[in-house]
Amino acid sequence: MLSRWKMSLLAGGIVVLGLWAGARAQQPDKEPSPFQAPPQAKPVNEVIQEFPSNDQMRTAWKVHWATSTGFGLTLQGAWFKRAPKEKWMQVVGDCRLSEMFVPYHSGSPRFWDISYNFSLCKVNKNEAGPHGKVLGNPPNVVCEVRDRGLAYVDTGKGGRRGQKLVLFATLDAANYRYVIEYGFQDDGVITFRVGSTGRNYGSREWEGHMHNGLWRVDVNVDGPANNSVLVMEHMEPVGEQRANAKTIHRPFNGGREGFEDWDPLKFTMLSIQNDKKRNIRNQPAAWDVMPLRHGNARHYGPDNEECTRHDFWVTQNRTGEIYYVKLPKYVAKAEPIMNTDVVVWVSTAGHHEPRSEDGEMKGTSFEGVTQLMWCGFDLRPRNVFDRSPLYP
Amino acid sequence: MDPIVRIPILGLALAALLSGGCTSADRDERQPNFVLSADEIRLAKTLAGQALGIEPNAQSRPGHVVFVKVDLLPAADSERLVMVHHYRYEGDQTIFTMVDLRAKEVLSQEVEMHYPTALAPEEVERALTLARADERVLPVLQIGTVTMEVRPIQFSKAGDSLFGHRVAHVLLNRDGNYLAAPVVYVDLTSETVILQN
Repeated sequence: MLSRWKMSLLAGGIVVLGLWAGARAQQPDKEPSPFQAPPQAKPVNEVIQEFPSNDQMRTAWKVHWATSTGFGLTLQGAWFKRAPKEKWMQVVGDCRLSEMFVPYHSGSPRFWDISYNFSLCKVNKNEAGPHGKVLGNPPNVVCEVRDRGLAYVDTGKGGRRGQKLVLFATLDAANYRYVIEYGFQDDGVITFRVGSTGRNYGSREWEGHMHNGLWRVDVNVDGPANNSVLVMEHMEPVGEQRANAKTIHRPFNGGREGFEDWDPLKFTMLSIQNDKKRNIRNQPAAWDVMPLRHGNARHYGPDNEECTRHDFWVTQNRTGEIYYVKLPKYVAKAEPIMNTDVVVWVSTAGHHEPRSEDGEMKGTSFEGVTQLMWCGFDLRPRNVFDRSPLYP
Repeated sequence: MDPIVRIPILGLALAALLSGGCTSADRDERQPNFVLSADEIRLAKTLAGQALGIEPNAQSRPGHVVFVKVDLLPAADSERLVMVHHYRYEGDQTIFTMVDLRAKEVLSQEVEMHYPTALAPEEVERALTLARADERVLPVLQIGTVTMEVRPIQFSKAGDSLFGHRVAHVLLNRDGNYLAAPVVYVDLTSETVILQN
Protein backbone atom coordinates (compact mmCIF):
# COMPACT_ATOMS: atom_id res chain seq x y z
CA MET A 1 0.00 0.00 0.00
CA LEU A 2 1.51 3.31 -1.06
CA SER A 3 1.54 6.07 1.47
CA ARG A 4 -0.55 9.21 0.80
CA TRP A 5 2.43 11.44 -0.09
CA LYS A 6 3.91 8.85 -2.44
CA MET A 7 0.57 8.57 -4.19
CA SER A 8 0.38 12.35 -4.58
CA LEU A 9 3.92 12.45 -5.95
CA LEU A 10 3.13 9.73 -8.47
CA ALA A 11 -0.05 11.41 -9.66
CA GLY A 12 1.65 14.80 -9.91
CA GLY A 13 4.51 13.25 -11.86
CA ILE A 14 2.14 11.73 -14.34
CA VAL A 15 0.39 15.11 -14.82
CA VAL A 16 3.70 16.87 -15.53
CA LEU A 17 4.79 14.07 -17.86
CA GLY A 18 1.52 14.26 -19.71
CA LEU A 19 1.70 18.01 -20.23
CA TRP A 20 5.33 17.79 -21.31
CA ALA A 21 4.66 14.98 -23.75
CA GLY A 22 1.71 16.84 -25.19
CA ALA A 23 3.71 20.01 -25.68
CA ARG A 24 6.47 18.05 -27.43
CA ALA A 25 3.98 16.39 -29.76
CA GLN A 26 2.46 19.70 -30.83
CA GLN A 27 5.65 21.78 -31.05
CA PRO A 28 8.36 19.55 -32.53
CA ASP A 29 10.63 22.47 -33.42
CA LYS A 30 10.96 23.67 -29.82
CA GLU A 31 12.71 21.98 -26.95
CA PRO A 32 10.70 23.06 -23.93
CA SER A 33 11.76 22.34 -20.43
CA PRO A 34 9.54 19.69 -18.89
CA PHE A 35 9.34 21.90 -15.80
CA GLN A 36 8.28 25.04 -17.62
CA ALA A 37 4.68 25.99 -16.92
CA PRO A 38 2.51 26.42 -20.02
CA PRO A 39 1.92 30.06 -20.91
CA GLN A 40 -1.06 31.66 -19.19
CA ALA A 41 -4.13 31.47 -21.36
CA LYS A 42 -5.11 35.00 -22.39
CA PRO A 43 -8.65 35.56 -23.58
CA VAL A 44 -8.72 36.32 -27.28
CA ASN A 45 -10.85 39.38 -26.56
CA GLU A 46 -8.44 40.89 -24.05
CA VAL A 47 -6.55 44.10 -24.76
CA ILE A 48 -3.90 45.39 -22.37
CA GLN A 49 -2.52 48.87 -22.97
CA GLU A 50 0.19 50.56 -20.94
CA PHE A 51 0.59 54.33 -20.84
CA PRO A 52 2.49 56.15 -22.08
CA SER A 53 2.81 53.94 -25.11
CA ASN A 54 6.31 55.25 -25.87
CA ASP A 55 7.94 55.45 -22.46
CA GLN A 56 8.13 53.78 -19.06
CA MET A 57 4.71 52.65 -17.87
CA ARG A 58 2.74 54.93 -15.56
CA THR A 59 -0.79 53.54 -15.83
CA ALA A 60 -2.51 50.74 -17.75
CA TRP A 61 -5.88 49.35 -18.81
CA LYS A 62 -6.97 45.77 -19.30
CA VAL A 63 -10.17 45.48 -21.34
CA HIS A 64 -12.35 42.51 -22.29
CA TRP A 65 -14.52 43.38 -25.26
CA ALA A 66 -17.26 41.41 -26.99
CA THR A 67 -19.48 41.68 -30.04
CA SER A 68 -22.95 40.45 -30.88
CA THR A 69 -25.75 41.19 -33.27
CA GLY A 70 -28.10 43.70 -31.74
CA PHE A 71 -25.84 45.23 -29.12
CA GLY A 72 -22.83 45.53 -31.40
CA LEU A 73 -19.66 46.24 -29.42
CA THR A 74 -19.91 45.68 -25.66
CA LEU A 75 -17.50 45.44 -22.73
CA GLN A 76 -17.31 42.40 -20.50
CA GLY A 77 -15.09 44.21 -18.05
CA ALA A 78 -12.28 46.75 -17.67
CA TRP A 79 -9.54 46.98 -15.07
CA PHE A 80 -7.24 49.90 -14.33
CA LYS A 81 -3.73 49.97 -12.94
CA ARG A 82 -2.92 53.36 -11.39
CA ALA A 83 0.81 52.59 -11.01
CA PRO A 84 3.18 49.92 -12.39
CA LYS A 85 3.40 47.91 -9.16
CA GLU A 86 -0.27 48.10 -8.28
CA LYS A 87 -2.77 45.31 -8.83
CA TRP A 88 -5.49 45.60 -11.41
CA MET A 89 -8.55 47.35 -10.02
CA GLN A 90 -11.86 46.55 -11.67
CA VAL A 91 -13.82 49.58 -12.81
CA VAL A 92 -16.68 48.19 -14.89
CA GLY A 93 -18.27 44.87 -15.72
CA ASP A 94 -20.74 44.53 -18.59
CA CYS A 95 -21.25 47.78 -20.49
CA ARG A 96 -23.33 48.21 -23.59
CA LEU A 97 -25.39 50.57 -25.67
CA SER A 98 -28.61 49.04 -24.42
CA GLU A 99 -30.88 50.82 -26.88
CA MET A 100 -30.90 53.38 -29.67
CA PHE A 101 -34.33 54.97 -29.81
CA VAL A 102 -35.11 57.06 -32.90
CA PRO A 103 -38.51 58.77 -32.90
CA TYR A 104 -39.44 61.06 -35.79
CA HIS A 105 -41.10 64.42 -35.23
CA SER A 106 -44.32 63.50 -37.03
CA GLY A 107 -44.91 60.72 -34.48
CA SER A 108 -43.94 57.83 -36.73
CA PRO A 109 -41.74 55.93 -37.28
CA ARG A 110 -40.28 55.27 -33.81
CA PHE A 111 -37.33 52.90 -34.17
CA TRP A 112 -35.59 50.86 -31.45
CA ASP A 113 -32.43 50.05 -33.35
CA ILE A 114 -30.74 47.84 -30.76
CA SER A 115 -33.77 45.63 -30.22
CA TYR A 116 -33.99 45.13 -34.00
CA ASN A 117 -30.88 42.95 -33.87
CA PHE A 118 -28.76 44.51 -36.58
CA SER A 119 -25.27 43.17 -37.32
CA LEU A 120 -21.96 44.96 -37.15
CA CYS A 121 -20.37 46.31 -40.33
CA LYS A 122 -17.14 44.80 -41.52
CA VAL A 123 -14.43 47.35 -41.02
CA ASN A 124 -12.06 48.43 -43.79
CA LYS A 125 -8.59 49.97 -43.82
CA ASN A 126 -9.88 53.48 -44.36
CA GLU A 127 -12.01 53.26 -41.26
CA ALA A 128 -9.27 51.65 -39.17
CA GLY A 129 -6.84 54.42 -40.10
CA PRO A 130 -3.05 54.26 -40.05
CA HIS A 131 -2.78 53.17 -36.40
CA GLY A 132 -5.89 51.04 -35.99
CA LYS A 133 -5.63 47.31 -35.41
CA VAL A 134 -8.60 45.37 -36.71
CA LEU A 135 -10.03 42.75 -34.35
CA GLY A 136 -12.73 40.13 -34.59
CA ASN A 137 -13.74 37.36 -36.92
CA PRO A 138 -15.30 38.68 -39.10
CA PRO A 139 -13.18 41.82 -38.76
CA ASN A 140 -15.51 44.40 -37.21
CA VAL A 141 -13.72 46.04 -34.27
CA VAL A 142 -10.94 48.62 -34.40
CA CYS A 143 -8.45 49.06 -31.57
CA GLU A 144 -6.07 51.99 -31.53
CA VAL A 145 -4.12 54.31 -29.26
CA ARG A 146 -4.89 57.98 -29.81
CA ASP A 147 -3.26 61.18 -28.72
CA ARG A 148 -5.93 63.01 -26.74
CA GLY A 149 -4.33 66.40 -26.74
CA LEU A 150 -3.30 68.18 -23.59
CA ALA A 151 -3.90 66.29 -20.37
CA TYR A 152 -2.90 69.29 -18.26
CA VAL A 153 -0.84 72.46 -18.21
CA ASP A 154 0.85 73.18 -14.89
CA THR A 155 2.13 76.55 -13.77
CA GLY A 156 5.32 75.00 -12.45
CA LYS A 157 6.12 71.93 -14.50
CA GLY A 158 4.51 72.69 -17.78
CA GLY A 159 2.10 70.60 -19.81
CA ARG A 160 1.68 67.01 -20.89
CA ARG A 161 -0.25 65.35 -23.65
CA GLY A 162 -2.53 62.44 -22.85
CA GLN A 163 -3.35 59.20 -24.63
CA LYS A 164 -6.22 56.81 -24.78
CA LEU A 165 -6.94 53.32 -25.95
CA VAL A 166 -10.01 53.28 -28.18
CA LEU A 167 -12.18 50.37 -29.27
CA PHE A 168 -14.92 51.02 -31.79
CA ALA A 169 -17.31 49.16 -34.09
CA THR A 170 -20.20 50.20 -36.31
CA LEU A 171 -23.74 48.86 -36.19
CA ASP A 172 -25.35 48.33 -39.60
CA ALA A 173 -28.89 49.59 -38.91
CA ALA A 174 -30.36 49.50 -42.42
CA ASN A 175 -29.98 53.05 -43.76
CA TYR A 176 -28.24 54.22 -40.58
CA ARG A 177 -24.90 53.48 -38.93
CA TYR A 178 -24.08 53.75 -35.25
CA VAL A 179 -20.43 53.94 -34.27
CA ILE A 180 -20.11 52.54 -30.75
CA GLU A 181 -16.88 53.64 -29.13
CA TYR A 182 -15.23 53.06 -25.76
CA GLY A 183 -12.12 55.01 -24.78
CA PHE A 184 -9.75 54.23 -21.93
CA GLN A 185 -7.62 57.20 -21.00
CA ASP A 186 -4.24 57.19 -19.33
CA ASP A 187 -5.73 59.18 -16.41
CA GLY A 188 -8.32 56.51 -15.60
CA VAL A 189 -11.27 58.02 -17.48
CA ILE A 190 -13.52 55.79 -19.60
CA THR A 191 -15.33 57.53 -22.43
CA PHE A 192 -18.62 56.16 -23.77
CA ARG A 193 -19.63 57.47 -27.18
CA VAL A 194 -22.13 56.66 -29.88
CA GLY A 195 -22.01 58.41 -33.21
CA SER A 196 -24.97 58.51 -35.60
CA THR A 197 -24.26 58.62 -39.30
CA GLY A 198 -25.52 57.12 -42.58
CA ARG A 199 -28.38 57.93 -44.94
CA ASN A 200 -31.42 59.89 -43.88
CA TYR A 201 -34.54 57.73 -43.79
CA GLY A 202 -36.19 57.28 -47.19
CA SER A 203 -39.21 59.59 -47.72
CA ARG A 204 -38.38 61.44 -44.46
CA GLU A 205 -35.06 62.82 -45.59
CA TRP A 206 -35.79 66.28 -44.22
CA GLU A 207 -37.76 65.37 -41.12
CA GLY A 208 -36.24 66.06 -37.70
CA HIS A 209 -35.78 63.19 -35.33
CA MET A 210 -33.88 62.14 -32.22
CA HIS A 211 -31.13 59.61 -31.61
CA ASN A 212 -31.37 58.48 -28.00
CA GLY A 213 -28.25 56.52 -27.07
CA LEU A 214 -29.31 54.61 -23.97
CA TRP A 215 -26.53 52.93 -22.03
CA ARG A 216 -26.26 50.16 -19.47
CA VAL A 217 -23.09 50.41 -17.35
CA ASP A 218 -22.30 47.87 -14.65
CA VAL A 219 -19.92 49.95 -12.56
CA ASN A 220 -17.76 47.73 -10.36
CA VAL A 221 -15.38 49.96 -8.39
CA ASP A 222 -12.81 47.49 -7.05
CA GLY A 223 -15.22 44.67 -7.84
CA PRO A 224 -18.98 44.34 -7.88
CA ALA A 225 -19.54 44.38 -4.11
CA ASN A 226 -19.89 47.41 -1.81
CA ASN A 227 -20.76 49.89 -4.55
CA SER A 228 -23.09 52.80 -3.78
CA VAL A 229 -24.54 55.44 -6.07
CA LEU A 230 -24.57 59.07 -4.99
CA VAL A 231 -25.77 62.25 -6.68
CA MET A 232 -23.61 65.36 -6.62
CA GLU A 233 -25.35 68.70 -7.17
CA HIS A 234 -24.10 72.23 -7.26
CA MET A 235 -26.54 74.55 -5.43
CA GLU A 236 -26.52 78.33 -5.79
CA PRO A 237 -27.56 80.55 -4.10
CA VAL A 238 -27.66 79.09 -0.62
CA GLY A 239 -30.12 80.66 1.81
CA GLU A 240 -29.90 84.38 2.30
CA GLN A 241 -26.23 84.55 1.36
CA ARG A 242 -26.83 85.12 -2.35
CA ALA A 243 -23.15 84.83 -3.26
CA ASN A 244 -22.70 81.47 -1.57
CA ALA A 245 -22.87 78.08 -3.25
CA LYS A 246 -22.47 74.53 -2.03
CA THR A 247 -22.28 70.95 -3.29
CA ILE A 248 -24.73 68.35 -2.11
CA HIS A 249 -23.74 64.69 -1.96
CA ARG A 250 -26.75 62.47 -1.39
CA PRO A 251 -27.79 58.88 -2.11
CA PHE A 252 -29.34 58.43 -5.55
CA ASN A 253 -33.14 58.35 -5.23
CA GLY A 254 -32.85 58.02 -1.48
CA GLY A 255 -30.62 54.96 -1.82
CA ARG A 256 -33.21 52.92 -3.72
CA GLU A 257 -33.61 51.77 -7.32
CA GLY A 258 -35.24 54.41 -9.47
CA PHE A 259 -34.44 57.44 -11.59
CA GLU A 260 -33.09 60.99 -11.40
CA ASP A 261 -32.92 63.80 -13.95
CA TRP A 262 -30.10 66.00 -15.10
CA ASP A 263 -30.46 69.63 -14.09
CA PRO A 264 -28.23 72.07 -15.99
CA LEU A 265 -28.41 74.52 -13.07
CA LYS A 266 -27.13 71.86 -10.68
CA PHE A 267 -24.48 70.27 -12.91
CA THR A 268 -25.89 66.90 -11.89
CA MET A 269 -23.29 64.14 -11.63
CA LEU A 270 -23.48 60.61 -10.33
CA SER A 271 -20.70 59.09 -8.25
CA ILE A 272 -20.36 55.35 -7.83
CA GLN A 273 -18.13 54.68 -4.85
CA ASN A 274 -16.73 51.74 -2.94
CA ASP A 275 -16.59 52.60 0.72
CA LYS A 276 -14.17 49.72 1.41
CA LYS A 277 -11.55 50.96 -1.05
CA ARG A 278 -9.84 54.11 0.11
CA ASN A 279 -6.92 56.21 -1.03
CA ILE A 280 -4.19 57.89 0.97
CA ARG A 281 -6.58 60.63 2.13
CA ASN A 282 -8.93 57.93 3.38
CA GLN A 283 -11.44 58.93 0.72
CA PRO A 284 -13.56 56.19 -0.89
CA ALA A 285 -12.59 55.32 -4.45
CA ALA A 286 -15.25 56.29 -6.96
CA TRP A 287 -15.92 56.78 -10.63
CA ASP A 288 -18.19 59.72 -11.55
CA VAL A 289 -20.67 59.81 -14.43
CA MET A 290 -19.80 63.08 -16.16
CA PRO A 291 -22.64 64.08 -18.52
CA LEU A 292 -21.74 65.65 -21.88
CA ARG A 293 -25.21 66.59 -22.95
CA HIS A 294 -26.90 68.19 -25.94
CA GLY A 295 -30.15 68.22 -23.95
CA ASN A 296 -32.63 66.08 -22.07
CA ALA A 297 -34.79 63.90 -24.33
CA ARG A 298 -38.37 63.16 -23.30
CA HIS A 299 -40.70 61.10 -25.46
CA TYR A 300 -44.40 60.64 -24.99
CA GLY A 301 -45.40 57.92 -27.40
CA PRO A 302 -46.66 54.55 -26.20
CA ASP A 303 -46.05 53.17 -22.71
CA ASN A 304 -42.74 51.55 -23.64
CA GLU A 305 -41.23 55.05 -23.97
CA GLU A 306 -41.48 55.66 -20.25
CA CYS A 307 -37.82 54.65 -20.02
CA THR A 308 -36.89 57.77 -22.04
CA ARG A 309 -38.48 60.20 -19.58
CA HIS A 310 -35.55 60.29 -17.18
CA ASP A 311 -31.83 60.81 -17.66
CA PHE A 312 -30.37 58.38 -15.13
CA TRP A 313 -31.67 55.13 -13.73
CA VAL A 314 -29.97 52.85 -11.21
CA THR A 315 -30.74 49.21 -10.53
CA GLN A 316 -29.17 46.35 -8.69
CA ASN A 317 -27.24 44.07 -11.02
CA ARG A 318 -29.65 41.22 -11.68
CA THR A 319 -29.31 38.43 -14.18
CA GLY A 320 -31.11 39.02 -17.45
CA GLU A 321 -31.71 42.74 -16.99
CA ILE A 322 -30.09 44.27 -20.05
CA TYR A 323 -33.05 45.83 -21.87
CA TYR A 324 -33.49 49.59 -21.46
CA VAL A 325 -37.17 49.52 -22.41
CA LYS A 326 -37.90 47.39 -19.36
CA LEU A 327 -36.33 49.81 -16.86
CA PRO A 328 -39.61 50.88 -15.26
CA LYS A 329 -40.22 47.21 -14.44
CA TYR A 330 -36.68 46.65 -13.22
CA VAL A 331 -36.97 49.43 -10.62
CA ALA A 332 -40.51 48.58 -9.54
CA LYS A 333 -39.41 46.96 -6.27
CA ALA A 334 -37.15 49.89 -5.34
CA GLU A 335 -34.42 47.63 -3.97
CA PRO A 336 -31.45 49.22 -2.13
CA ILE A 337 -28.55 50.49 -4.23
CA MET A 338 -26.09 51.18 -1.44
CA ASN A 339 -23.20 48.80 -0.70
CA THR A 340 -24.22 46.33 -3.34
CA ASP A 341 -23.65 45.46 -7.02
CA VAL A 342 -25.21 48.29 -9.03
CA VAL A 343 -25.93 49.14 -12.66
CA VAL A 344 -26.17 52.71 -13.92
CA TRP A 345 -28.31 53.48 -16.96
CA VAL A 346 -27.59 56.73 -18.78
CA SER A 347 -29.53 58.53 -21.51
CA THR A 348 -27.39 60.44 -24.04
CA ALA A 349 -29.60 61.93 -26.70
CA GLY A 350 -28.91 63.92 -29.84
CA HIS A 351 -31.33 65.93 -31.95
CA HIS A 352 -30.89 65.53 -35.69
CA GLU A 353 -32.39 68.42 -37.60
CA PRO A 354 -31.53 67.55 -41.22
CA ARG A 355 -29.43 69.97 -43.23
CA SER A 356 -28.16 70.20 -46.77
CA GLU A 357 -24.88 68.69 -45.62
CA ASP A 358 -26.75 65.39 -45.05
CA GLY A 359 -27.22 64.86 -48.77
CA GLU A 360 -29.28 65.84 -51.78
CA MET A 361 -32.26 64.60 -53.72
CA LYS A 362 -31.47 63.39 -57.21
CA GLY A 363 -34.76 62.50 -58.80
CA THR A 364 -36.35 60.02 -56.41
CA SER A 365 -33.02 59.03 -54.86
CA PHE A 366 -31.26 60.57 -51.89
CA GLU A 367 -27.50 60.78 -52.23
CA GLY A 368 -25.02 61.76 -49.54
CA VAL A 369 -24.20 60.90 -45.96
CA THR A 370 -24.95 62.46 -42.60
CA GLN A 371 -21.74 63.36 -40.82
CA LEU A 372 -21.22 61.72 -37.45
CA MET A 373 -23.08 63.28 -34.53
CA TRP A 374 -21.61 62.14 -31.22
CA CYS A 375 -23.35 61.66 -27.89
CA GLY A 376 -22.04 60.13 -24.69
CA PHE A 377 -20.59 60.62 -21.26
CA ASP A 378 -17.41 60.02 -19.30
CA LEU A 379 -16.73 57.86 -16.30
CA ARG A 380 -14.06 59.74 -14.34
CA PRO A 381 -12.08 58.57 -11.30
CA ARG A 382 -12.50 60.35 -7.97
CA ASN A 383 -10.11 59.63 -5.09
CA VAL A 384 -8.71 56.63 -6.95
CA PHE A 385 -5.24 58.15 -7.18
CA ASP A 386 -3.32 59.52 -4.20
CA ARG A 387 -2.05 62.43 -6.26
CA SER A 388 -2.38 63.98 -9.71
CA PRO A 389 -2.11 61.22 -12.30
CA LEU A 390 0.73 61.38 -14.83
CA TYR A 391 2.30 64.28 -12.91
CA PRO A 392 6.12 64.31 -12.74
CA MET B 1 -5.38 9.08 -0.31
CA ASP B 2 -9.11 9.42 -0.44
CA PRO B 3 -10.34 7.50 -3.52
CA ILE B 4 -12.65 10.40 -4.43
CA VAL B 5 -9.60 12.68 -4.70
CA ARG B 6 -7.37 10.09 -6.34
CA ILE B 7 -9.59 9.31 -9.32
CA PRO B 8 -9.82 12.90 -10.69
CA ILE B 9 -6.04 13.40 -10.36
CA LEU B 10 -5.24 10.20 -12.20
CA GLY B 11 -7.92 11.04 -14.75
CA LEU B 12 -6.34 14.45 -15.29
CA ALA B 13 -2.97 12.83 -15.78
CA LEU B 14 -4.30 10.42 -18.38
CA ALA B 15 -6.25 13.17 -20.12
CA ALA B 16 -3.10 15.27 -20.34
CA LEU B 17 -1.20 12.36 -21.87
CA LEU B 18 -3.96 11.60 -24.38
CA SER B 19 -4.81 15.15 -25.38
CA GLY B 20 -1.33 16.21 -26.29
CA GLY B 21 -1.41 19.04 -23.75
CA CYS B 22 -2.55 22.63 -24.05
CA THR B 23 -0.74 24.70 -26.64
CA SER B 24 -1.04 28.24 -27.84
CA ALA B 25 -2.49 26.94 -31.11
CA ASP B 26 -5.38 25.42 -29.20
CA ARG B 27 -6.13 28.72 -27.56
CA ASP B 28 -5.91 30.70 -30.78
CA GLU B 29 -8.42 28.45 -32.48
CA ARG B 30 -11.05 28.43 -29.78
CA GLN B 31 -14.12 30.58 -30.06
CA PRO B 32 -14.25 33.68 -27.89
CA ASN B 33 -16.59 33.28 -24.93
CA PHE B 34 -19.02 35.86 -26.32
CA VAL B 35 -19.88 33.71 -29.33
CA LEU B 36 -22.85 31.38 -29.01
CA SER B 37 -22.25 28.14 -30.86
CA ALA B 38 -24.85 26.66 -33.17
CA ASP B 39 -25.40 23.91 -30.59
CA GLU B 40 -26.00 26.45 -27.83
CA ILE B 41 -28.49 28.38 -29.94
CA ARG B 42 -30.26 25.13 -30.83
CA LEU B 43 -30.43 24.12 -27.17
CA ALA B 44 -31.70 27.53 -26.08
CA LYS B 45 -34.33 27.54 -28.79
CA THR B 46 -35.45 24.02 -27.93
CA LEU B 47 -35.73 24.63 -24.18
CA ALA B 48 -37.55 27.93 -24.62
CA GLY B 49 -39.80 26.39 -27.25
CA GLN B 50 -40.68 23.51 -24.95
CA ALA B 51 -41.58 25.98 -22.22
CA LEU B 52 -43.89 27.66 -24.72
CA GLY B 53 -45.37 24.35 -25.85
CA ILE B 54 -43.83 24.53 -29.32
CA GLU B 55 -42.98 21.23 -30.99
CA PRO B 56 -39.20 21.04 -31.71
CA ASN B 57 -39.59 20.51 -35.46
CA ALA B 58 -42.71 22.57 -35.98
CA GLN B 59 -42.58 25.08 -38.82
CA SER B 60 -43.24 28.58 -37.57
CA ARG B 61 -46.14 30.21 -39.34
CA PRO B 62 -47.34 33.78 -39.20
CA GLY B 63 -50.28 33.93 -36.85
CA HIS B 64 -48.48 31.75 -34.40
CA VAL B 65 -45.10 32.02 -32.68
CA VAL B 66 -41.75 32.69 -34.36
CA PHE B 67 -38.30 32.31 -32.88
CA VAL B 68 -36.50 35.64 -33.20
CA LYS B 69 -33.08 35.57 -31.53
CA VAL B 70 -30.92 34.59 -28.57
CA ASP B 71 -28.98 37.15 -26.50
CA LEU B 72 -26.04 36.01 -24.40
CA LEU B 73 -26.45 37.49 -20.93
CA PRO B 74 -23.66 38.89 -18.76
CA ALA B 75 -22.87 36.27 -16.13
CA ALA B 76 -20.08 34.73 -14.14
CA ASP B 77 -17.50 32.68 -16.06
CA SER B 78 -18.98 29.50 -14.64
CA GLU B 79 -22.41 30.33 -16.05
CA ARG B 80 -23.84 30.37 -19.56
CA LEU B 81 -27.14 32.23 -19.53
CA VAL B 82 -29.16 33.43 -22.51
CA MET B 83 -32.39 35.25 -23.25
CA VAL B 84 -34.47 33.72 -26.02
CA HIS B 85 -36.89 35.98 -27.86
CA HIS B 86 -40.06 34.68 -29.52
CA TYR B 87 -42.79 36.72 -31.16
CA ARG B 88 -46.44 35.73 -31.00
CA TYR B 89 -48.63 37.30 -33.68
CA GLU B 90 -51.77 36.90 -31.65
CA GLY B 91 -51.79 39.86 -29.28
CA ASP B 92 -48.54 41.36 -30.68
CA GLN B 93 -46.56 39.73 -27.90
CA THR B 94 -42.83 39.29 -27.36
CA ILE B 95 -41.86 36.40 -25.11
CA PHE B 96 -38.58 36.49 -23.20
CA THR B 97 -37.32 33.15 -21.94
CA MET B 98 -34.19 33.08 -19.77
CA VAL B 99 -32.31 29.81 -20.14
CA ASP B 100 -29.38 28.34 -18.22
CA LEU B 101 -27.46 26.45 -20.91
CA ARG B 102 -25.20 24.61 -18.44
CA ALA B 103 -28.09 23.33 -16.31
CA LYS B 104 -30.31 23.00 -19.40
CA GLU B 105 -33.22 24.63 -17.68
CA VAL B 106 -35.58 27.54 -18.17
CA LEU B 107 -35.17 30.13 -15.42
CA SER B 108 -37.98 32.52 -16.26
CA GLN B 109 -40.46 33.53 -18.90
CA GLU B 110 -42.03 36.97 -19.42
CA VAL B 111 -44.41 38.41 -21.99
CA GLU B 112 -44.43 42.02 -23.22
CA MET B 113 -47.12 43.57 -25.42
CA HIS B 114 -46.26 45.87 -28.34
CA TYR B 115 -42.56 45.53 -27.56
CA PRO B 116 -39.94 46.56 -30.17
CA THR B 117 -38.88 43.24 -31.60
CA ALA B 118 -36.54 42.17 -34.37
CA LEU B 119 -37.85 40.25 -37.36
CA ALA B 120 -37.00 36.57 -37.59
CA PRO B 121 -35.03 35.58 -40.71
CA GLU B 122 -38.07 33.74 -42.04
CA GLU B 123 -40.14 36.92 -41.61
CA VAL B 124 -37.56 38.95 -43.51
CA GLU B 125 -37.71 36.39 -46.32
CA ARG B 126 -41.51 36.45 -46.31
CA ALA B 127 -41.54 40.25 -46.50
CA LEU B 128 -39.13 40.21 -49.45
CA THR B 129 -41.13 37.53 -51.22
CA LEU B 130 -44.39 39.44 -50.83
CA ALA B 131 -42.80 42.72 -51.92
CA ARG B 132 -41.15 41.20 -54.98
CA ALA B 133 -44.42 39.64 -56.04
CA ASP B 134 -46.38 42.87 -55.79
CA GLU B 135 -47.27 44.21 -59.22
CA ARG B 136 -46.85 47.80 -58.05
CA VAL B 137 -43.32 47.14 -56.83
CA LEU B 138 -42.18 45.12 -59.87
CA PRO B 139 -41.74 48.10 -62.24
CA VAL B 140 -39.54 49.85 -59.67
CA LEU B 141 -37.30 46.82 -59.44
CA GLN B 142 -36.77 46.75 -63.19
CA ILE B 143 -34.99 50.12 -63.43
CA GLY B 144 -31.28 50.03 -62.61
CA THR B 145 -29.93 47.71 -59.94
CA VAL B 146 -32.32 47.68 -57.04
CA THR B 147 -31.60 45.91 -53.79
CA MET B 148 -34.11 45.49 -50.99
CA GLU B 149 -33.40 45.78 -47.25
CA VAL B 150 -35.86 45.05 -44.49
CA ARG B 151 -36.23 46.75 -41.14
CA PRO B 152 -39.03 46.34 -38.62
CA ILE B 153 -41.39 49.23 -38.05
CA GLN B 154 -44.03 49.57 -35.37
CA PHE B 155 -47.19 51.63 -35.57
CA SER B 156 -47.66 52.85 -32.07
CA LYS B 157 -50.89 54.86 -32.19
CA ALA B 158 -53.77 52.74 -30.95
CA GLY B 159 -56.10 54.03 -33.68
CA ASP B 160 -53.75 53.22 -36.56
CA SER B 161 -54.89 50.41 -38.87
CA LEU B 162 -51.44 48.80 -38.50
CA PHE B 163 -51.33 49.11 -34.72
CA GLY B 164 -50.46 45.74 -33.17
CA HIS B 165 -49.45 44.30 -36.55
CA ARG B 166 -46.11 42.83 -37.48
CA VAL B 167 -44.83 45.21 -40.16
CA ALA B 168 -41.65 45.24 -42.23
CA HIS B 169 -40.44 48.31 -44.09
CA VAL B 170 -38.78 47.19 -47.31
CA LEU B 171 -36.20 49.82 -48.21
CA LEU B 172 -35.42 50.13 -51.91
CA ASN B 173 -31.89 51.00 -52.83
CA ARG B 174 -31.16 51.79 -56.47
CA ASP B 175 -27.53 51.89 -57.54
CA GLY B 176 -26.40 52.59 -53.99
CA ASN B 177 -28.97 55.26 -53.11
CA TYR B 178 -32.22 54.84 -51.22
CA LEU B 179 -35.42 55.74 -53.05
CA ALA B 180 -37.69 58.31 -51.46
CA ALA B 181 -40.67 56.68 -53.16
CA PRO B 182 -42.44 54.35 -53.17
CA VAL B 183 -42.44 53.48 -49.47
CA VAL B 184 -43.11 49.77 -49.22
CA TYR B 185 -44.54 48.25 -46.05
CA VAL B 186 -45.32 44.57 -45.73
CA ASP B 187 -47.95 43.78 -43.11
CA LEU B 188 -46.92 40.28 -42.12
CA THR B 189 -49.97 39.89 -39.90
CA SER B 190 -52.38 40.24 -42.82
CA GLU B 191 -49.83 39.28 -45.49
CA THR B 192 -50.44 42.41 -47.51
CA VAL B 193 -48.17 44.91 -49.20
CA ILE B 194 -48.87 48.60 -48.60
CA LEU B 195 -47.40 51.30 -50.83
CA GLN B 196 -47.09 54.97 -50.08
CA ASN B 197 -45.90 57.35 -52.76
